[in-house]
Amino acid sequence: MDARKLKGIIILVGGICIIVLPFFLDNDFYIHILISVMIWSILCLSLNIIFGYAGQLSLAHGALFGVGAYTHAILTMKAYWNFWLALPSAALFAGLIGFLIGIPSLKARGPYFVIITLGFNIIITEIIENLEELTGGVVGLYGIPRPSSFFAISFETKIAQYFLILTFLVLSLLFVHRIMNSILGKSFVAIRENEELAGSVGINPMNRKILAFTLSSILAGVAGGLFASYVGVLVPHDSGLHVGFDALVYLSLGGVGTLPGAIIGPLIISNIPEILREYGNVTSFVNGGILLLIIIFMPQGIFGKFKEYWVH
Amino acid sequence: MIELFQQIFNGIILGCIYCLLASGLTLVYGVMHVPNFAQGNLYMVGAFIGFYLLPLFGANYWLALLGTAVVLAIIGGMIERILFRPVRDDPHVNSFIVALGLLMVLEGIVTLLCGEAFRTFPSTYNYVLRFGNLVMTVQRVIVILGTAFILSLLGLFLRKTKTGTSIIAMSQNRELALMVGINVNRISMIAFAISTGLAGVAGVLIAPILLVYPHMGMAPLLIAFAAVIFGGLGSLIGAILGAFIMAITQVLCIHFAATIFSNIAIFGLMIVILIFRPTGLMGGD
Repeated sequence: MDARKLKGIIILVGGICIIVLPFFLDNDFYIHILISVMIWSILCLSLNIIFGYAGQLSLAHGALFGVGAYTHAILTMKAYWNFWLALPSAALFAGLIGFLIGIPSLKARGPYFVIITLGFNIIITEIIENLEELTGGVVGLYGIPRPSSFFAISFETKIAQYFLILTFLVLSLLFVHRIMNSILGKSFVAIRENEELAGSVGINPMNRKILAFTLSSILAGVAGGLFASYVGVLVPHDSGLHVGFDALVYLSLGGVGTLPGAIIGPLIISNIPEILREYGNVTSFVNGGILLLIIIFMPQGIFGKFKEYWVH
Repeated sequence: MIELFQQIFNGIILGCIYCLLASGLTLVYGVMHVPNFAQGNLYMVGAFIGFYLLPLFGANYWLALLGTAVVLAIIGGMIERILFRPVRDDPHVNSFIVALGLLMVLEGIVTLLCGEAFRTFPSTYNYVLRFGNLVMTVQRVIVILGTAFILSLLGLFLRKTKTGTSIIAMSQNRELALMVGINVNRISMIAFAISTGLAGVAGVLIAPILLVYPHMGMAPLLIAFAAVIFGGLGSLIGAILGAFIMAITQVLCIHFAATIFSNIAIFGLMIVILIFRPTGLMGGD
């Protein structure tokens, strides 16, 4: 069987499972777990654009997620905007912030870029914490409204939320897939592999990196906006550094620079801390430990390893 | 006016701590080309180890300080051997990710073992000295003198011993250092152990002045990085100078404006420097 056919079958079977699954889960908790996996997957896809494809390790994705989440929450709560208007605006605003962060930070390379994005995350979280009138300060925002009905479909039940967020995940997948199979995506990979060489064949690395970072920020904003409307509560902690770190852990486990990796990673581990909650706050320990093991023993991640076996 | 002097004095205290962290960062970067994101959490671990060693040594602060430095140096050597050495020949970014994983694991372990509560480090030297209108505790004087002593020791070690000059040689020109037969494994391990030892000392020096808790490492980490970038990754003198400039900026911002502006100012300074001098004011390549 050739790879194309296998891929088609996996996507078809997986698709049917994903659509049928929530109807067999009589427990809302499992649906909740699947929803949070999907939100993480969107954030991982976003990190994948800038880190996996363009090769720039950004630690600012927690903040970009937070900017999307807070913008969505403020627009729906304080300006009474509709979900369907607020979400794209939140995503675009996160994109704008990403663009503004990207200009100075992408000028720097290697460790300098990573350190600057780390700094931006800390600063943005601090700003969110201090804009008390808008963001509620350390107390946060409560009662972020659920999506309003889309024609006849209402989004009050967990299952309806599941399909709403699934739709956004599928759209994000198609978005990233489309980019990666275009000349644009290939230029991102060229920059990752060799920036000087990419420059010498007529790619402007600086412009392309800023574009990759902006696209990535927009997607992070989508994830944040969905998170805000799904959970209904936001605190500054939700835009902290650890959000970006966790996304990096999940993406590394699944496979950096692959589309399925962004789903496999969150599916496997994003809920371990939730399950082990009775033993205390194990999130950093579990995620950090997994990150170390993966990067030392299997840096290509689960899907990367699978691909290696398939090719050989 | 006297209040301003007091603030600047406090800035010097903070500067000492940033100095110790930043020299560790720059040492490790010079030898291993890794920005050690876990440095702030190693400092936190140092404060915790000091906190638990203190009663064991009959509340003798100096023994606790020495003990922490030794324990942290041993931990550092193990970290280099177990975590960083396996990824040394992988793409560079992998070692950055190892540093991030280490940051998370250290915070996770301490949170699991000790909880997220704030602890006060019992201080033996909290009596007050007065110089005119300037007030300071003995502990603060200890921070300044201790840092000066340790940095002089470090300077002597780097200049006068064979291992020290090997560390400098590796950070100046890695390939050439390899060619003249410097043992990379040994030097990397020693540099990392020194760097974690410095972080441990910083943690125990400042612990009696601040509170001890699992998240205490993040704020100094950013400032130490800003200091190192100011001076140029890999330059020791640059890191020390940068640490004091960042600390003074921080206290002046808090004094004249608000706390939130201090990080923005420090960070803004870092970005401006990076835009105009991408390798820092004193950095080479």
